[in-house]
Amino acid sequence: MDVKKAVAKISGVGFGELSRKFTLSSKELAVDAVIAAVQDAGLDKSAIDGLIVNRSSTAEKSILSLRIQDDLGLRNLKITDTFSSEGAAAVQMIQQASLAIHYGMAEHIVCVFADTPIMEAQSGGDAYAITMDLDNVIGWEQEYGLHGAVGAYALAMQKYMASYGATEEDFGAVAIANRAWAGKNPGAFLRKPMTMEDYMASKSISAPLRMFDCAFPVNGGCAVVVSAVDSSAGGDSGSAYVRGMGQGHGGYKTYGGHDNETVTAARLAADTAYSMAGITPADINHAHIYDAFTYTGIIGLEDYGFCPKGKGGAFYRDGGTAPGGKLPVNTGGGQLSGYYLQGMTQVSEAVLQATGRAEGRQLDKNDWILASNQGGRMDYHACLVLSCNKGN
Amino acid sequence: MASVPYGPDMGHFWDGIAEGQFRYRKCNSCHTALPSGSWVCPECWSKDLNWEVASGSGVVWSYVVYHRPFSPKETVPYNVVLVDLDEGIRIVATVDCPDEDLYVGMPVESKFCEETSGKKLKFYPLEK
Repeated sequence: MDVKKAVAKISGVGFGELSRKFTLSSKELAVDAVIAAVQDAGLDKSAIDGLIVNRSSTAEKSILSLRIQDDLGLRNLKITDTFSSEGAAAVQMIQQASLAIHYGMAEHIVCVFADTPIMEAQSGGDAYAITMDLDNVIGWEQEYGLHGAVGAYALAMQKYMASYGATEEDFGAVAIANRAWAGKNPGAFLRKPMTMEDYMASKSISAPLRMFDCAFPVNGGCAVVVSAVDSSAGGDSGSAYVRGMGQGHGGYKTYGGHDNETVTAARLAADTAYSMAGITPADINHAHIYDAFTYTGIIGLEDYGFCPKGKGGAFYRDGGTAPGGKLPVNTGGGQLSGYYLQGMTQVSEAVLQATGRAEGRQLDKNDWILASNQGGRMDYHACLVLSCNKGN
Repeated sequence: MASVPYGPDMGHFWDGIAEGQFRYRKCNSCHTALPSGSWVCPECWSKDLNWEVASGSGVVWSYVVYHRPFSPKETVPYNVVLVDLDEGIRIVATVDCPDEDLYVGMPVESKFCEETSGKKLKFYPLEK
């Protein structure tokens, strides 16, 4: 394999307050996150020459837009963009920034996500209860009460169980492993150890999907600064080098017997990114797999090449991803037990590990780190291969 | 239900539901059976699509049983299924049977029920 030099580096990471109450708007959280990330990179605001914004696809456009450029007084931007393409967007904006920097369009691009699913008149669960248009007839799904991502993902879980003989305990094992990591992360929201009994007792939402199969919604913001590899940014706090990038988008096909539920285009994203980095899945030291639902933790492990199809549940049950396991996964507790900032959950934890700032959960080896994102009904996939080394 | 401003005119589809028919599209060029909302063939890009009427028999591809209500319209528990129709398209619907009887691969047959909002397509288990 031909190991290549980094495309760019993540030189800073910062947060806007993570909370279970509505106190700050998305715009305020985004601005706070940007300021924290630029400080973390050791840069002055005048050095920032790019801004990319990721608004949740469930939020109104006016809630978070490129207008934060003026709040932040960024005057000489060479690139801007807005991504609202669901859960894959955090990684996608870092990829776009990395490409722009690699080709000299800009030197320091800040990429920010913020969202407030919890508002005074809305719970976190209701925020995501949007209609999923599965069969291209507007209004049809509402007629049958197919609400929210919980419906589409329950359909996927049920299909996976029937196809591969997976059990409810397989999904429980994902929730329990991520909770074990959350116990080591002071920033995680759900830290009390979970047993299989706790998982089984958790409230059924859309069977086979339970409450503990779902991400833990929080209000908050997260930003990263993407910089040129050889710039001085990130000198004090360290940088995570972008060594591989990939995307895969298979579409959702409701004819011809296609299997949208257990076959995903994450495989395309994985192959592209591993090939760019010059590695194979066996080289990855730890992975941060999009876990908005326990099921995506399982299918992500399979499609990113860490175990054969249908064996993801067994990998979790055997403790393979838990503290001390052969492939640590979602070391901050992930979206299930840590915090749900859509794609930024995986990105932020990967950066903290790569820069040696993961405190009590810090891993020794950070040569190759995978951070995966996915959006929609598993139709959009994007990933980064990060490293503490910039390569040759 | 009226058609939406942006998208294909679904009037003929909804008229079919009112008449007790499930209508779907078939490409005149490559003969692929397509979802009812299709207006261009995703296989060959032809826009020459026919309307066809489904026989109404199929097999459950997957299913979900809601226990948490998300709208006042529904009473939990209720099931939502993906059904593979024999013609080759997959649709969202419900099966009129005890939720615990559902399984992936269950053969089902359609029926139209009278509801306050008009006719509604449902499925029931097909005895083998």
